[in-house]
Amino acid sequence: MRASFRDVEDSPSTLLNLLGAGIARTGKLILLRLLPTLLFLWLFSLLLFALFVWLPGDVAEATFGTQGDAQALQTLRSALALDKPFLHRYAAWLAAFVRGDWGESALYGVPVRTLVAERLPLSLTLSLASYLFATASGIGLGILLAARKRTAGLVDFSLNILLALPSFLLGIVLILLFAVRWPLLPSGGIAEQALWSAQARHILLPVLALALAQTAILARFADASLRETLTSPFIATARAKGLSTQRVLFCHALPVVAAPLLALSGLQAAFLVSGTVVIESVFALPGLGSLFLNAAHARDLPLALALALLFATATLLATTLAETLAALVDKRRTESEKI
Amino acid sequence: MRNTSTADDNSPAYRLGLVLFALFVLLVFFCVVFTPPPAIVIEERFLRPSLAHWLGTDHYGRDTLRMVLRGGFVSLATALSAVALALLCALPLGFASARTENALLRSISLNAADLLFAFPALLTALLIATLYKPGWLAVLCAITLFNIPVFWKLSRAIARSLYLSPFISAARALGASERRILYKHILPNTLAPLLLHASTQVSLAILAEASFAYLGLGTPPPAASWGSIVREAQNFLVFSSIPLVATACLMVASVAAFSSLARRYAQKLPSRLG
Repeated sequence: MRASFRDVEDSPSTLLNLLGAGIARTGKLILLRLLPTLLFLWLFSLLLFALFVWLPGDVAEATFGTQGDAQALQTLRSALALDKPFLHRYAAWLAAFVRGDWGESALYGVPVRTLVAERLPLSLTLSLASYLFATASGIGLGILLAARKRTAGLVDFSLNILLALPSFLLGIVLILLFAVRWPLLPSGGIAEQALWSAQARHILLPVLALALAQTAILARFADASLRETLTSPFIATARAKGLSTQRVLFCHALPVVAAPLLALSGLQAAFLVSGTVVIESVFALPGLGSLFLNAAHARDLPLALALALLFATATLLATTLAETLAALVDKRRTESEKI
Repeated sequence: MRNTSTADDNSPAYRLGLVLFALFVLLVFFCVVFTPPPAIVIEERFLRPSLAHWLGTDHYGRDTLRMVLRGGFVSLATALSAVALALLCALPLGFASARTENALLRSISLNAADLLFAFPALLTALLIATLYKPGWLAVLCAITLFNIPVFWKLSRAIARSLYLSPFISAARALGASERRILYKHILPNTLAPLLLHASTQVSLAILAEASFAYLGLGTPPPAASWGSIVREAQNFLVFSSIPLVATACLMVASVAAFSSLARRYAQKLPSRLG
C-alpha cells in the first residue's frame, strides 16, 4: 500500500488507476489461491472415482446378485456404459456431477440431489450459526482476557476443559444439563412447527456443542497474540503519546492480530463442516452429516461419493476464502509474500 | 508463546498431575497385558461400586474400571501410533522439500501440504468405512493421513531455516557430506520441536479417535474404545452414570495431559525454533 500512495503523490490523476490496480491485485490473489484448491479437488474426484470403479463388484452385479447370468450382466453393463474405458466413464461421471446429476442413492432409492436438497438447509444453518457464534465469542473473550492485568485461574481452567472435551461429550453434557436436569430446551430432533423461534430453540444446544470448543481455541489464540503484540515497541509509543488503553488495544494491537485470527477462524470453519457429522448424530438432526454417516454404515457408494465431494469442496473453499481474506487484511506483509 | 504460559505450569500440582498420568498409562498397559477381558455376567448388571468392582458394572455386567482401562488402551494406542506413523512418513517429505531449490517443486510441496491439512480426518474415516469397512484400521489411516501434512509443513519449515543457517555452511565448508549434514545436524535439531508438536497432535488424535468410535466407525464390539463406551453408556444413563462419567474424566485428563506437556516444554525451546 505504501508504494501505491507514493504513486499517487507523483501523479495526482492516478486514483482511478490505483483502484483498478487494487481490484486486479485482489483478483489475482484470489485466482492464485483458488487454482491449487480446484486442482486438488479435481485430483480428489479422480481418486474417488478410481476407488469407486476398482472396488470389486459393480451396479450390474448388485442388481442381479451373484447368480446373474453372463448375458444379462453384459447387457446391463453396456446399457449403463460400465464396459467403457476408465477415462471415458470418469469424464461422463464428472460432467454429470457438475451438471447436478449425482446419481441415485442405493439406501434411500431416491436421487442423491433430492436428499441433499432436503437436508442442506439444516446443516448449513448449524455450521454457519456455529461459525458466527464461535468467531464472535472467541475473539470477544480473547480481547477481554488480554485486557485484564493478570491471568486468573477459573477462566483459563474452563478454557482448558473445553479444549480437552470432545464435541460429542460436550453435546451429551449440554443435553443432561439443559434438557434433562433443567428441561429448558429440547434434547434433539427438529421442530415440527416452521416457527422461527421453535427452530431456534431446537438448534441452540447443537450450535453451542459445536461452537464452544472453537470459541476456546480462538479466545486462547487471540489472548496470546494480543498479549505478545502489546509488548512490542510501537504499542509503547502509542501509550507514550497518551492514548487510552482501549484505543491502543482496538486501533493499534487488534489490526495486527486480525490476519492470523482470520486465517485460524477459516481453519475452524473447516473443522465445523466435519463437526456437523458428530453433532447431528448426538442430537438426532436429519442433516447432511448424519446422511453421510448413514451412507458410510450402509455402504451406499453413490451417496457417499457425492457427499464426500461436497464436504471436501465446502471445507477447502472455506479455508481458501479465509486465507485470502487474511492475506488481504494483513498490510504488513509485502506483495510477493502475499502471493 | 512465552507470554501465554501461566505460572501453574511449574507448580507441584502440575508435576503431581504428570506423575499420576504416567501411572495411569502404566495401569492401562498392565490391565491389557496381564488381565483377560472382563466377562459378561448379565445377572450383575449395573452394580454399585464395591470392593469386587471398584466402579461397579455396566449394562452387560462387565467391570466398569477394566472396560474403561481397556478402552483407554485402544484410544491411546491408536492416537500414539497414528502420530508416530505420520511423523515417519512426513520427515522424509519435509526434508526433501526443504532442500529442493526448484521453485515449482517447492510451490507444489507447500500447496499440497496446505490443502491436505485442510482436509478433515473425519471425511477420510467415513470414506474408508464406506469403501472398505469401519474398524480400527480406518480410524488409524484417517488420523495418520490427517497428521502427515501437519508434520510435513513443520519439518519443512524447520529444516529450511536450518539449511540456511551459518553452521550448516560451516559444516559444508569443512567438507561434510550431505548425508552427514542431514543426520548429524538437521535431524537432531528438527526432532525436539517436532516431538513437542507431536504431543499436541496426540491430544487432538485422542479426541478424533473418540469421535470416530462414538460414530461407530471404530473397532466393532466387544472390543471398546472410549468413544464407543460413551456411545453405549449414553443409552443406560438412567441406570448408571458411572461408565460415562469415568470415561469422560479419563479422556479429558489424557487430552489435557498431552497438550499441557507440549505447552510446558514449548517455553524451554530456543526461540529460533519456537
